[in-house]
Amino acid sequence: MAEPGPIRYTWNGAYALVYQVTGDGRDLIYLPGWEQNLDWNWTFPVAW
Amino acid sequence: MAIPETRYAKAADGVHIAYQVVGDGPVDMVFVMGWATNIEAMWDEPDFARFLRRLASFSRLILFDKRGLGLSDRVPDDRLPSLETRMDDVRAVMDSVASDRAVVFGVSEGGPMSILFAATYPARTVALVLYGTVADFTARHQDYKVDPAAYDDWTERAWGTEEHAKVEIRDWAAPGFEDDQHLVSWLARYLRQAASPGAAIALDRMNRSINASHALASIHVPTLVIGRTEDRDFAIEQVRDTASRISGARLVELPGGVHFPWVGPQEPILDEVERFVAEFRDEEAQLERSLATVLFTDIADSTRRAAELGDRRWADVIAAHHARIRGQLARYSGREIDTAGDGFFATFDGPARAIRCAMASVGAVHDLGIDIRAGLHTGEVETVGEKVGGIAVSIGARVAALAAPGEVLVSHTVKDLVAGSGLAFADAGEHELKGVPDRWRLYRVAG
Repeated sequence: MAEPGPIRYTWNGAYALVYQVTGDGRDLIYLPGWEQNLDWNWTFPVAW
Repeated sequence: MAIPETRYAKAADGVHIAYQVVGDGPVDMVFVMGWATNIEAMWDEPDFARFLRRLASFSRLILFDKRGLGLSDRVPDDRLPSLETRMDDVRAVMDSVASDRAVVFGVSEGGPMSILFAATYPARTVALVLYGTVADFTARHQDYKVDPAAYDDWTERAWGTEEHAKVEIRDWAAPGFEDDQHLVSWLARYLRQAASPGAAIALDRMNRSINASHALASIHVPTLVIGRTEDRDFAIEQVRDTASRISGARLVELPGGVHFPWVGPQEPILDEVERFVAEFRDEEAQLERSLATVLFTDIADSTRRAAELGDRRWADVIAAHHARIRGQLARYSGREIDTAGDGFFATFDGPARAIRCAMASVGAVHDLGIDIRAGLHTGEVETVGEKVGGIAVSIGARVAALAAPGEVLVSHTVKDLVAGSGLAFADAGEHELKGVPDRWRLYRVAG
């Protein structure tokens, strides 16, 4: 399984948006619902 | 070891402040950590956790995240809290955990708000401890960030990365530890969990303009200032300057240039703090504590009346006012503690006599063409020599400030104590008393 990629920020105007790229297959944008936190997502072993 | 549960206090404006309480020592300590914080991620760094555990071994330790940061409510970047708002947030947290008084321990950027808190709320500050900080951030010599715009740009580009964490550690946070991969990884993650890039930049911009120097002379609580002599974030000369302007402050200089207090040899810092806390706890044990009723009076509209009468005639009125109030104090066995401007502060053994004295005083000065307002509260006071202090004194002063001209206002405590005395009261509603927890029901003495 791919290791989680580094957490990075990109700026949309005045707002910094955090993102993470993991793996090297085709691009897939994952948009989770409710509260989430990129750092913490990887600490829970079962995918939501 | 499990980390403490995070709770939320609600500040007066509805913003939630995340906090934790750990330990059950004999004195409360509010730990005001600088920069961006996250009270849960602090515990992920073993040395930081060890530092906090040690503090909690001799205190009930209270941790919190400033609004806008960590686990507290986010606020717009242009509305990051002023020093005053941060102080209010500390009070909201203290109120939530029923902490009347606490040692305030300000680290680094947490220094100025701790200074302001100790100066503004002496009744809620047992003592002040400052580490690696100064009052005036506008005069800092930080050679690693000579160009603020470039530093902001760097934060914008690199915030949250290990590269960023490593450079910050190398340049000022813990020089010499930049190759400690565990520390670097932890700091990168901690900062991500503490602030978004926009918040980090806004915080840094705001901090450059902070200056709490004017509050230093108003600090009258025991104070310990600790600095490391090679600290690059806060030069020791400026730490000394801050300490020298706090009355009676003890300055301790420790060797080394590591700014983060838990990195490297943390024991010397902790030993100093523990010894200091133990010493003034001994002093406090020698204070005389007693139950007393405090009376505050003040001349209503004094500025306007003084202007109307002119200086000389006003001085005559003040002299007559003082003489008549002193007469009533003598009659009702009140003890004059202080006169501040045109008001009196007196204590009484019995609340009913205190109320009768206040009523008589209102009547006694009326024909001088002035009205006084009076407020009373009964509670435990601390006596040191001729001085009387404690939160009961603050409450009495706040109650008096709410009285209308010619009115005697009392706390519910006073009313409850004089049941059966024949004194009558009218409900004057619930009030917030500035700097005092809870809402207070007050009563107007009806004669």
